[in-house]
Amino acid sequence: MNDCGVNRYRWGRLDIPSRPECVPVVRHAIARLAQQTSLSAEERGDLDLAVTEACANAVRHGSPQRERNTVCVAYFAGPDAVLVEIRDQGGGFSAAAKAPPAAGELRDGGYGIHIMRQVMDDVEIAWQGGTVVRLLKRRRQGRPGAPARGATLVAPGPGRLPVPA
Amino acid sequence: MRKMLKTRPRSPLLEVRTWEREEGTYLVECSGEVDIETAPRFRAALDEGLRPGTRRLVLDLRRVNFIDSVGVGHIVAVYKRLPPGARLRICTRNQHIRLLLEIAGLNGLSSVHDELDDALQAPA
Repeated sequence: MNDCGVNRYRWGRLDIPSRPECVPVVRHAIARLAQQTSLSAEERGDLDLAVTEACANAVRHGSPQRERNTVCVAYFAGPDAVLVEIRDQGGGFSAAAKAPPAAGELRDGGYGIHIMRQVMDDVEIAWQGGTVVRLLKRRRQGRPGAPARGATLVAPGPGRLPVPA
Repeated sequence: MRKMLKTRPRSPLLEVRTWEREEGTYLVECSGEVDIETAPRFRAALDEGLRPGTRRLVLDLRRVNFIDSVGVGHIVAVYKRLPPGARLRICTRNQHIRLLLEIAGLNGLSSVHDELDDALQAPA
């Protein structure tokens, strides 16, 4: 019998009530799924973060009937990539919500989409009777020319924050 | 494969406490995960460190293995409400947390330290 490799792929769907306490349940489920792929720990962390941001947005902004709404999470994992789709029952994002923060702007919220785009290889946002967010994370190792994320974004070490006026 | 959660998930995944380490220095010690579920308790702990006499607010996030934009948003909000002249110090080695702090605009990222002693000894 030919091995067509189908066992290397996993897919499924997880529907959660639109409640904050269900968001970590999704995050942990996707984390377990990602552990079975070749994604690195950093890439899995990126995926955890983006999935959490998308689910939190669905709960906070995509559920007009709050807990009576459902957030549907579908996932597909291959050996070298994971695709997660988060679908809510809301009316979509405003253009402002999609805009990245301005340089030097100190914001206490509203940058979830920007974070997703920072850490994922592809982010697709559509409206199909609700907001649909598709997140794709690929294995970076072995991809020629793929730069390491974060190395130029964050310089660890001591320093100083601006002092409030 | 389709699952629908009907039962309430497990209890919150964050442990946090705030105490006055020395006069004017409040230390917020956290361990676990900060997200939309646990963020209200995280925010309450941060608020506890905001006193009229606060000169230095130190967030020990070394044992926090996950934080999202909701949690970082609370750090920004507390930072904006610091008493005049007071400083915020953050202790973490987690690159995702550092990335989120930068995206939030807390760059200089700076008052971010690897070690708690460094955060505590940084000038107020």
